[in-house]
Amino acid sequence: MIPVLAVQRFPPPQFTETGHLLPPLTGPLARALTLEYLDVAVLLAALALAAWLALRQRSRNWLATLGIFSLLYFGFWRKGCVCSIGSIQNIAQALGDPSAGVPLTVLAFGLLPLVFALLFGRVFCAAVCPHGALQDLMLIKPVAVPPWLEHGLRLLAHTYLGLAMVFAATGGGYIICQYDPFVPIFRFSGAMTLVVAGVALLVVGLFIGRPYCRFLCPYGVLLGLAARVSRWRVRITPDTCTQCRLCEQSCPVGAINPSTLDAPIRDAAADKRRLVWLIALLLVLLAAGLGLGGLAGTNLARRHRIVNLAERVHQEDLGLVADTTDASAAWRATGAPVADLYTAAQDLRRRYVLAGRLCGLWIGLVIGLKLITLAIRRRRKDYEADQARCIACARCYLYCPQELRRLGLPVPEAPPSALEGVVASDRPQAEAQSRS
Amino acid sequence: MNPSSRQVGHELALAVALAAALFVLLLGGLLAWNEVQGKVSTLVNSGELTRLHEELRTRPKDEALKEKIRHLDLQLRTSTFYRLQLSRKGVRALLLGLAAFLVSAHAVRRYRRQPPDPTTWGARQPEREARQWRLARYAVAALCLATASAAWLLSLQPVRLPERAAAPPGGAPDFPSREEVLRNWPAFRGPNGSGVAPAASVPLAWDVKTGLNIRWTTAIPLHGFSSPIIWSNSVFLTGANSASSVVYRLDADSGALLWTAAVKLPGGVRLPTPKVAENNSLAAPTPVTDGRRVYAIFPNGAIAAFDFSGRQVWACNIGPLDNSYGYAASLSIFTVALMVQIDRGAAEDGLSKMLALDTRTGRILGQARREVAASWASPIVVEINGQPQLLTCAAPFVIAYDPANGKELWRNKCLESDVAPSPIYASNIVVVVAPNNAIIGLHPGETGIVWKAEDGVPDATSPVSDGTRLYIVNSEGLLTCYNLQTGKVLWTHEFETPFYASPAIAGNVLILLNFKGVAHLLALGDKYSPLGQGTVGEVCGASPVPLGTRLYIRGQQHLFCIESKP
Repeated sequence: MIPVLAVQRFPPPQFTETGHLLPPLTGPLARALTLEYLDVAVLLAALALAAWLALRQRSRNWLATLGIFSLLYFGFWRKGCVCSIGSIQNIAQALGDPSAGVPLTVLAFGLLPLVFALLFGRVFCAAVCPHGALQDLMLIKPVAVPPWLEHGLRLLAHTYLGLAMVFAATGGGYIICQYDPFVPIFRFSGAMTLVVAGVALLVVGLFIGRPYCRFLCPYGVLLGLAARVSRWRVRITPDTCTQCRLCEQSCPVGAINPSTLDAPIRDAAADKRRLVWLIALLLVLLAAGLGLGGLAGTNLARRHRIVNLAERVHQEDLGLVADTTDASAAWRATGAPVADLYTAAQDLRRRYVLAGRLCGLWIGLVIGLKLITLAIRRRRKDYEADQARCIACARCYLYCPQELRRLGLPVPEAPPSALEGVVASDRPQAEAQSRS
Repeated sequence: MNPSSRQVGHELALAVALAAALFVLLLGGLLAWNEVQGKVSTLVNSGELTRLHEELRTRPKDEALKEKIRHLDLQLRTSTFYRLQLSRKGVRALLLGLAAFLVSAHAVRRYRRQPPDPTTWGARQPEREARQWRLARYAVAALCLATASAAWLLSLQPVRLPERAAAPPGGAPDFPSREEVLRNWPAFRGPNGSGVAPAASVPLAWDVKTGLNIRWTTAIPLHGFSSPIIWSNSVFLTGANSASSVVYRLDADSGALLWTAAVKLPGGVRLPTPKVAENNSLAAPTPVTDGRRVYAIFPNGAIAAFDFSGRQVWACNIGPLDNSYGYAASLSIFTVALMVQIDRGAAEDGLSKMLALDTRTGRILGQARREVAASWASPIVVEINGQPQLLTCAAPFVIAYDPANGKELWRNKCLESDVAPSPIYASNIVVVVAPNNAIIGLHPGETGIVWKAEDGVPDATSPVSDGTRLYIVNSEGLLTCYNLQTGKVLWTHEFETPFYASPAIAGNVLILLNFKGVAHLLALGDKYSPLGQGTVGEVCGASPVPLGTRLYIRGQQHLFCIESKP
C-alpha cells in the first residue's frame, strides 16, 4: 500500500436530510502499458524526426510544426507526465536507493533524448520538449540578453540540477515536478503560485527566448553536456562561412559564437597566469563546495518527511511548539517508538550530508570550470553554433546567404565582411591565427 | 505577394493580434479576480460557516440554526462550483484567445521581417566584448557567493535531534541494581516510596540552637518543599523562584554545596512562572536519581537531567503542568524509564497522562492516557508478587501499570476529591487516601477494597507502615495508628501543630516532623510511645530522610544533617 497525503477538497454536506449521497471514492486507473509504450514510440519517432528536420532538412517551419505536435501530445494530452525533465529524478532515486525501481518507459524518457543529444545535439529541445515548444510559440519579439548576464543565469540550472538530484536520490521528493511552472498550464489546474510563475515565464518569453530552458531547466544541463561531444551537430552554414555576420543576431537563445578573427591579440603570458590562478581557484571551490554542501545537507534533510516528522516530534516533546501537526498526531497514534523515528532521521541526515557534499562538489566544479572557460578565448574562424547551448531550432539557417543559395532563395545584397572592422595591418595576422 | 495584399495582411494580422491581446488580458484579469474571490469566500474557509458550526456545538438542538447552516452551506456550494465551472470554461477561452494572439502576432512579425543589415550594427568592438566577458566572470563570482551564502545560511540552527543513546562509560549498566537502590534514598520517601529505612538508626534528640547532634547545617539559597534525596555521599535537592529553577548537590559528609545547576531549556526558552497555592512552592516535586544522573521536574513544566558533575545532560519542557494548587507529583524511576505523572483538569477533560522518558536522552519512551482528575500524589514503583508495578493515585482510580511497557495492570475505583497523599504498599496491602474522606486498604489487582477508615484522614501527608501497623498524621496534627490488615484504629494522639511533611520510619522509630520544625520520635508499637524530640527551628514542609545513622531535614532556609556525635 502506498501512503498518500490527501484530504477532501470540499467538506461533505453536513446534513443527511437532503438525501445527498456521497459518491464512492475512486482513484484514477493506471495507464495501460501499451499506451505507455506508445508514448515511448512517439518520443522516439519525434526525436528521430527532429534530428532529421534539424540536421538534414534544415527546416524551421517543419520543426515548429513538430513542436506544436509535441506540445499538444506530451503537454496537453499527456499533461506533462511522463516527461524527460522529471524522469532523471526517478533514475537518481534508483541510484540512491537500490530498493526503488524505475519503470522502463520512464527510463526511456530519461535516456533517449540524451542518446540523441550524444548523436545529434539538442534535438529534443528543438521540437520534442513540450516546455520548449510552448515557450517557442510565445517568442514574439526576441531581445538579446547581455552575455555577462547569460553566463551568470545559466548556472542557476546547474544548481537546480544538483539540488534536484540530492532530493531525488535521498527520498526528499521530486522538486523538478513539484515546481514545474508549465505542468499546471498543461493540466488547467495547479497551485496558484506555480500558475503565476508559469504565466510570468511565458510573458518574459515573449521577449526572451526560452527563459526556462536557458536558465532553469536541469535536464537541459545534461543535454548540453551530451551535445558538447555530439557526433553530428548544427552547422549554421551548409557551406563555407563568409563572415557576413548576418546570423550574428539570429539566435534567440544566444547560442552563436562569433568568429574571433577580428579579436585583438591577447597577452599569452597573462592568460597563462590567469589560468593557473583559476585552476587553483577551482580546487578552492571544490573544497568549499564539499564543506558547505555537507553543512547545508542537515537542513536540506528537512524536505524528507521522516526527518521533518522527527524534528517536529522532538520540538513538540521539548515544548518548543504548542500544538501538533496532522503528521505528528498520526505518528503518535501509531505508538511507534520515538527512538526508532530519531534513528531513522539521523540516518537520513547522514545521507543528506553526503548528498549535499556531492552537490557542493558539483556546483564548485561547474563554477570553477565556468570561470576558466570565461578566461580562455578559443579561436574560431567561423560563426558557429555553441554545441552546449544550441537548441537546434533552425532559426539561424535562413539568415545564412549560403543556405539561401542552397534553397534558391534571394540573397541579401553585398553582405559586409566581418574583417572590415579589423585594422588593416592586423588582418594578415588574424587570418594567420585563424588558419593555425 | 504584392505589396498591397501584404499591407492588408499585415494590418489584418495586427488588428487580430491587438484584439486577441485585449481579450486575453481582460479574460485573464477576470479569471484572476474569480480565483481570488473563490479563495476568499470558498466553502472550505468560510469564517461564517465555521462560526455557525461552533455555535451549533453549544446549541445542538437549535433547528433554526441548523436551517441557517444548511442555507449557507448550499449558498457557498453553489457559488464555489459556479466559480469553478466559470474558471474551467474561462481558461479554455483564454487559451483560444492566446492561440489567436500568437498566430496573428507571428504573422505580424513575418510581415514586418526585414533581412538583417549588419551595416547598421557597426563594426564589432573587441573591447566591448572583452568587457562583457569580464562582467560575466563577475556575474559567475556573484552567483558563487550567493550560493555559498545560501548554503551557509542553511547550515545555521538546525534542529538538533537526540543522538542514539551512548554506551555507558566503562560498560556500566544504565541503571542501578536493586541492592544499590536499597542502599540509598534515591527518590521521594526512599527506595519504595514508602518512607521506610529499616536499617537506619537516627538520634533521638537534637537541637540546632545548642548544636546537639547537628552534624552540619547548610543554607539553601532557593526555597522549595521538595525533599532531599541521597546517593552515596551526595545529597541532591531542588529550589526555585520565578527567575530560576535549580538543582543543588551537597557533600553528605560536610554539607558543602558542591554545585548549583540551573535548568536551561533548549533554545534558551523561558517558561512562565506558574501560579501555585500559598502553602506550595515552585519546587515542590522531589528529584530522583539512578546514581548516574539526577532528574528534576518543576511546576513550570521544565524537566532536566544532570550528571553528578552538574552538567545538564538533557532538558525539555513537558508542560503545561498547571493545576489548582501547583504541580507537586515527584518523579519515579524504573530501569531507564523516568516516570512522570501529569494529572490535570477534570477526569473527563482527557488532559491526564503518565509519561515515561528515557533517562539517558529525555526522549519519550511511551505515554498512557489517564481518565483521572488533577492530582498531587507521587507515583511509586514497588514489587508485588515478584512483578514490578507502578502505582498511581488520582480520583477516581488507583491505577497500576507495568513500568516495563506502560500497560495498565489493574485499576480500582475508590478515590475522590483532590488526591495529594501518595500510595504505599506493605504486606500485600496498598494504602491510599481520599483526602478528607477515607483511608483505604486494598489488595492489588482487586476491584473491591479490604477496609476503609475515616479517622484522621490527611489531605497532604502520606501514610507510613512498619508492616503490621499504619501511621498517619494529618495537617491538623492528629496522629492515628491503624492495624494495616484490618483498618482498625489502634490508638491516636493529638499534636497541636500542623503537619505537612510525611512521616518516616528509621529502624523501629517513627519520625513525625511538624510544620514548625519540631520532630517527634516515637517507638513503633500498639500504643503511643514517645522516644524523643528534636528541633531545627524553622518551618518544615519537606519529608525527613533517614539513611544510615543520619537524618536529613529540609527547613525553609537550610538543610540539616542530624547524626549522633561520638
